[in-house]
Order: sequence, then structure tokens, then C-alpha cells
Amino acid sequence: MIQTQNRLVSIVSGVLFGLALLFLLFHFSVYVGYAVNLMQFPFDYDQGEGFELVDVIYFSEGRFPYQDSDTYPFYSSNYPPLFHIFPVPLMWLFGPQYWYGRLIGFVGTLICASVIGYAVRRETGHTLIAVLSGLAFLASNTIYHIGPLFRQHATMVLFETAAIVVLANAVDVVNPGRRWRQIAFGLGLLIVAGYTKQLAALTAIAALAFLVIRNLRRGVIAGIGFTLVGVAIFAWLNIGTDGEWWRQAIAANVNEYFPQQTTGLFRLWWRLHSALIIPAVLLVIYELYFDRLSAYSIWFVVTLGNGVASGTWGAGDSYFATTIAAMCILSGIFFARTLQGAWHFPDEVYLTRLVRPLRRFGPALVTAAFVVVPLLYAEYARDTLKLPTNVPVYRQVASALNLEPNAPRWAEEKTFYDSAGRLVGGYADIGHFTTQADIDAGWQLVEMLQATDAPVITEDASFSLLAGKDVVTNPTQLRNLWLNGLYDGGELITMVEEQAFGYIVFRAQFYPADFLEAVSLHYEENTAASVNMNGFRYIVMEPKPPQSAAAGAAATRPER
Amino acid sequence: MLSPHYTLTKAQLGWLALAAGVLGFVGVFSLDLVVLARANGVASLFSAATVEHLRSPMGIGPAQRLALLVCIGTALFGATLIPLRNRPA
Repeated sequence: MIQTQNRLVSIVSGVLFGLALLFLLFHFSVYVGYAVNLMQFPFDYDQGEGFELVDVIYFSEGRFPYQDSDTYPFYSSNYPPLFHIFPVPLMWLFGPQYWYGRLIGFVGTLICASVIGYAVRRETGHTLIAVLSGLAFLASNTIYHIGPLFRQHATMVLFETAAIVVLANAVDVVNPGRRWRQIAFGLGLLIVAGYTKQLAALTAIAALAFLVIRNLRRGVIAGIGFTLVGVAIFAWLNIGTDGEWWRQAIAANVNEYFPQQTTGLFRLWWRLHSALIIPAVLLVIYELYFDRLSAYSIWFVVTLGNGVASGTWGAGDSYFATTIAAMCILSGIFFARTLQGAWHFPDEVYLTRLVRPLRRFGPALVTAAFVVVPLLYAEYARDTLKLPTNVPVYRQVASALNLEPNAPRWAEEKTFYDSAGRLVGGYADIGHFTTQADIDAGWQLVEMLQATDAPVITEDASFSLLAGKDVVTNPTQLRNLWLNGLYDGGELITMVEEQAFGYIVFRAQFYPADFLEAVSLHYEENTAASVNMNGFRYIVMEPKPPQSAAAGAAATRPER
Repeated sequence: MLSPHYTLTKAQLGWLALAAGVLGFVGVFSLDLVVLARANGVASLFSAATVEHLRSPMGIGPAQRLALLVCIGTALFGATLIPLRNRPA
């Protein structure tokens, strides 16, 4: 596999490739440990996981989760349906649980890494680089963070990647019938990706651009078919939900934009992935001037637009996940071709004159690549390093490398080292392993909620679900609706003013401002019941004594 | 163009990128002028106040500046593709 004329270089290269593989396998072991740890954690880990589970419950009962959020239980989803339909059989078998949603996300990333490896192997025939490309995807801090969550993002990336890999060589299939079937399959995967999460839109644009560039007629026909199917599903959802699909999943999904968050996340993406971004960009440039543009190059460039959108409130580093998948494929192809000396610079391209002086160094450059390529993978493994510092073996590794834990951000005792740091806005505070103390704190809250007969509001759905209560509201969705003028909150606020809820449990207080104001007037914190869990403070609010609540309301009423 | 064997050329892709860059540049730049014209009337666009506005912190912001740079980059990249003529894109 490592073939070079120079025996010494061959040995050195073999050792370096072995080390690079070892480093990336170390990353993989951390990733598996994190996934197994999360699957055993019965509560929300990342904000919003519980509401994904609630959506699954709705679908398992044959109902849409796109509801009128102005009436009790004030709940609605803002995400497309597919990710919540996949776990429905598991819901029927095991009831509402977090582990299978996290398992689906985790297994999805493993399949995605395999698809990336397959693409590199198919394009270059280089098995070792294909394996390294797949492992590099899993080693990325971004993929690590979101992969084993009960969230739809990683599953969307899987379908996007599969779609692009299917379409990438579909245009070269000679048999017209087989070619059209492959194109239809690829576009079908894109529809699935889009109805898993809306962010797949840019991948769809990239795929259609690729088809148009390769053959205008075919691209137009494919585009028309794709649009018709996509619009038909959209219309069916909108009619089936009495317009709530449009209101909840589209109209409410407009948020504030913070340019500094975008630039910060771009800097972070570069800092963590530059060892693979550079070769990926070099391959894009090569294809632009010396070869035909591949689907991977167009995909890589177009999905950088998701990075631009990462400054939106609620977005984060996950918006780079698709680009990272493209980066792993492109860098893998670049490395393999360099090792194989498979570059071709046609004389008729005017830029070839820039490359011509380097031609006599060609064999030396290929030999150097046998050392540089594994070093770049090793450098990438170093840049993306993250590991728990409270788990045996990893603790010793962290100590040997002199790494200071820097996460979770708000925890008194930090238990995780993450090279991504916690400096950029919009960055989810995840990646650390949960502990028995976190689980105990969660059950303490559940037992408290079970003691009241009244309904409760919990910012994480898990506490309500495990206490056997209705899940009341989807906080961030209410906030989005409220900010976009699509929600008045009247009935919910009246219930808060009447102290109809036995407890309200806050985590980040991502609610409409008038709801928070009403809670502050009619509820007070029970500091003894509030708990620290998973790096966050869960604030328990309980009804104020009647006189105190009336005084607070009277003091503010003239202003309202 | 709609023949079963037609494929886009590097030069066509170059022209498309050049046009997109130029149109994008004009569009991003015009955003401010439209806001200014709405606030102060079309006549104000032809005064020194417009130049002052564009230079001020309320004028071209960091996101717009970035967008303008992307447009310039797209146009320049498009121009470098045009000499590649009929090579398939």
C-alpha cells in the first residue's frame, strides 16, 4: 500500500502512516466512549433533544407535531418530520427513551464515515487514505459534538453525503436507463436529507448545479422532477397540518444574525481543520483550471454558505458539518493522487506554465508526499484533540500531554479537554462525559415534579416525560414565534398568572420575554430544589405565596 | 444548449461567475443607497452626504464589506476561467 522506490522513505512513511492511523483511532475510541456514555444518560444532554423525542411520540401516535402553539399544551416542532419518523418502531417497542435516538445519530455518523471512505476508494483506489479520510470525519470536533445526540443534524449530513456520492459518478454511467435511475436515487436521498433538516437546501443546490454543469438538459429535467416532488411533499404537509407546517417550520425559523459569531466560527473551523482544508481547496483549484469540476468540489464550495449562516441565533459549529464531510473526501482524493503521482497538467491550459518548472521535481515531490501526507493527518489529529479528563486511561493521557480540562464552561469542576475551546459565540457546551452525579440530580428533579398534581413546565422535556407529565411548550420555538410576531402567548401567560403550574424548571431561559416576566412576577426560585446537572444550573421556580404574587403583579400592572 | 451531449465550458462558467460577481457587487452596494433614498429622498443620493454616509459606521458594515470582497473574488475568478475557452467545466 505504501509504495515508493526509496526503501528508507518507505519505512519512515510506513511508521508515520501507522502513527497517524493510531492517533485517529484514539479519537475514534473517545468518540465511541462518548456515544456509549450518552446512551446511558436518561435526560436531555444537548438543549432540544427532549423535543425531538416529543416529536417522535407525536408521530408514533399518528399525529403531526406541527400544532397550534397558542393553546394548551402550547407545543409545536420547528423541524421537518423524517428524523422523528425513523425511531417510531423503537418508540413502540421501548417507549420514550433517549438512547435509540442517540444510537441512530451515532450509527449514522459511522455510515457517513464509511461512505466518505468508499468515495475516496472509488475515486483513487487507495484503501489506506480512504480509511484515514473516514476516521478524519469522525475525529472532527464538530462531528464528535453532534454525532451521538438525539438531534437530526448528523443524520441529515449522512443523507447529503450519500446523495452526493451517488450523484458524483451517475453522470458518467453509459447506459441511459441506469444513469437516470442513479440520478433519481441520488435526488431521492437529497429529498430525504431536506425533510430531515432544512439546512440540506445548499447541498441540493450544489447537486443540481453539478448536474447542470455536466449536461444542461439533464440538469434541467432532474431539477424540475426534484422540485415537483419536494413541493408536493411540502404542500401535503401544509394541508395536513392546516398551515401549521408553514408557520412553525418555515415562517418561525427566522432568527437574529450575529456576524461576529460567523467570523468566530469560521476561524474555529479553520484552526481545527486547516491540515485538511488546504489540500481540499488545492483540489478544487486543480479541478477548476485543469480538470472537470467534480460534485465534491461544488458541494464543498456551495455548503460554505451554511458556515455563513452559522451566525444565526441557535446555530453553531454544526453548520460546518456538511462542509467537513466534503473536505474529508476532497483531501483524501488529493492525498491519494499525490502519492500515486496522478496529477495531469494539460499543455493547452495557460496556467500550466506556472507548474512546468516544477515538473523535474515531480519524483522528489511524490517521495516527499509519503512523509508529508501522514504528518498532515497526524497534525489534524493534534489540532482536533479532545478527551475526558475524568475517565481512566484518558486521564493519564491528558496528564502526560499536560492538558488542562476546559469544559463544561459553567461547571465548577471541569472534566473535559476540547481543543475547540469555548470562546466562540453560538458554541454548544457539549462533548464532556456525563457522571452518576448528573443522573442523580436529574432524578431528584423528576421526583420533585412527581409530587405535584398540577402540570409543570420544564425547559428540558425529559423531566416532564419521566415524571409522567404533559410536555408543556417547546421554549425556543415559542421564542422564535414570538420574535417573528406569530405568537401572542395570552393563554399561557394567563395560566402562569393563575399559578396553574406546580413548578417551572429553567435551564437557559430561552422563552419569550413576556413569559419570563410573568414567571418572575408569580413564581420564585426554590434554591434548595435547584440542581447542578451536566454543567448547567437547573433553576426550580415555584408559585409565590398569594400576597407576594399579587403585590408583584400590582406593582407592574400600570406599565403593561 | 439542450442537446443530450451539451456541457458547460470553462469560459461559460467564467462569464457566469464574472456576471454574478459584478451583479452581486452592485446589489450589495445598492442596498445602502436604497435605504438612504427611502430615508432622505432620491435627490440625496447625488449629494456629498451619500459619500459621508457610506464612510460612516452606519454605512458599509463588516458583513457588507465581506460580501463585497466575496463578489470581487468571484468576478476575478470568473475572469481567469474565460481564457480556458471550450474546455468542459
